[in-house]
Amino acid sequence: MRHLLTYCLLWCALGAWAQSRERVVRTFHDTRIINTQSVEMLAPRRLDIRIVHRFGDMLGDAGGWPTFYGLENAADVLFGFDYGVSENFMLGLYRTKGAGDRRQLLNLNFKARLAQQRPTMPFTIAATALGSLSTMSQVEGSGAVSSFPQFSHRLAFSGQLLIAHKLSEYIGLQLTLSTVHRNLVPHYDDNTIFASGLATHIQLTKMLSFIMDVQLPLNGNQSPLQTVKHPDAPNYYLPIGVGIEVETGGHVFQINLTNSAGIVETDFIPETTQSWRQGEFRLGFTISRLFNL
Amino acid sequence: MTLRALEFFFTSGVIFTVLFSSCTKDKLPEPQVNSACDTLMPVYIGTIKPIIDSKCAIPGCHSAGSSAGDFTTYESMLPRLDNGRFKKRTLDQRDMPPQGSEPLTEEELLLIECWINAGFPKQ
Repeated sequence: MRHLLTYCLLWCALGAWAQSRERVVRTFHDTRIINTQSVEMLAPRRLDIRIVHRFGDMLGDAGGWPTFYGLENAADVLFGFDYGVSENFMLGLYRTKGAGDRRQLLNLNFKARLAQQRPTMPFTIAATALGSLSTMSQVEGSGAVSSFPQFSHRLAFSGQLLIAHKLSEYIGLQLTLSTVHRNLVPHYDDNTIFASGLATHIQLTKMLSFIMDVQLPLNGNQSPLQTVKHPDAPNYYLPIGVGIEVETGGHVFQINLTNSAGIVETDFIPETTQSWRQGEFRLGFTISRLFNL
Repeated sequence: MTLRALEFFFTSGVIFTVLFSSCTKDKLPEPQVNSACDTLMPVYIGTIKPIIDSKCAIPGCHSAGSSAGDFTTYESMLPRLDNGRFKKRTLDQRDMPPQGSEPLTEEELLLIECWINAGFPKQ
């Protein structure tokens, strides 16, 4: 009897230990939500070829029937890839059209997973660093950002801390803390902008999920918290995205609506001047195909 | 220290060294109104419209009903003037008219700049 009790206790202790090491995975189903990056990583030696497209405004002054509700315009387009270097580290290289003052962007992105949710750890935590280089021709004498007085003025950077929690089998939440630094800005703007964001992923069926994200700039003219704004600054709005994600084994297809024209952090956090209320939201889609190398 | 941790710290170190060494914190000066505008004082009818008609409102570009924006009348141009997109593409980025089209001359650019700075008066 004593042996049986010892065996049971040992078995329970082993079970508890194993459970405490059990990692919670797939808080999100893709490495990006809509605008924001997610805590998800690519497995080692996996290549993700990615195409992201944002059409023009669906409604508002630039939308409606003349543009077939924005489908005849392209606000921004991303072509590129992500690659899983190791279990906790991935990198990506993308070309984007650019939706702000800087155009024709080459973006290099790094993401590292710092912690994984498990019974003893409530969050999955990841950090990202993105560098963005504008390759557009210098517009001399324009007095605008695109005059690029120095080469370094072509650069912008973003750093993010992503903290996610999987509430249940079907719901994932993420808090995002971001900073964006642009080396050259107009006279009314701040070089460094901080932002916080929220994102969610709700699984509706085995293949279909609802996704949503929003970013709240905390300083500068971009922030709704700043009551006094520079008179020359344009009106800025929170970049908000809602969408549906379809996963079909090896492919992730996402269709979304967002007021953000830009796709990468250095664009959509400081440069969102389109308003949902004025119909300046657009249809967007993401096609992602995974390859094992 | 594990190989994974070494890999992480090495990569982070390289990334942050590159980032911080290439950071600047520059602002463009506040734009000054071109003194030439005091004498030019262009308005849409008579000065700007002929430029727009010959360089922008042409078939395949910003003609009537164009999905890229109708620039055939003052009223149809107004939304893009109000939201600053016309200025951004024409004066700041200068990617309009696009490559391959007849570009705006320096004189035309100055007239458009003065017109926009004056609040794009119609007449």
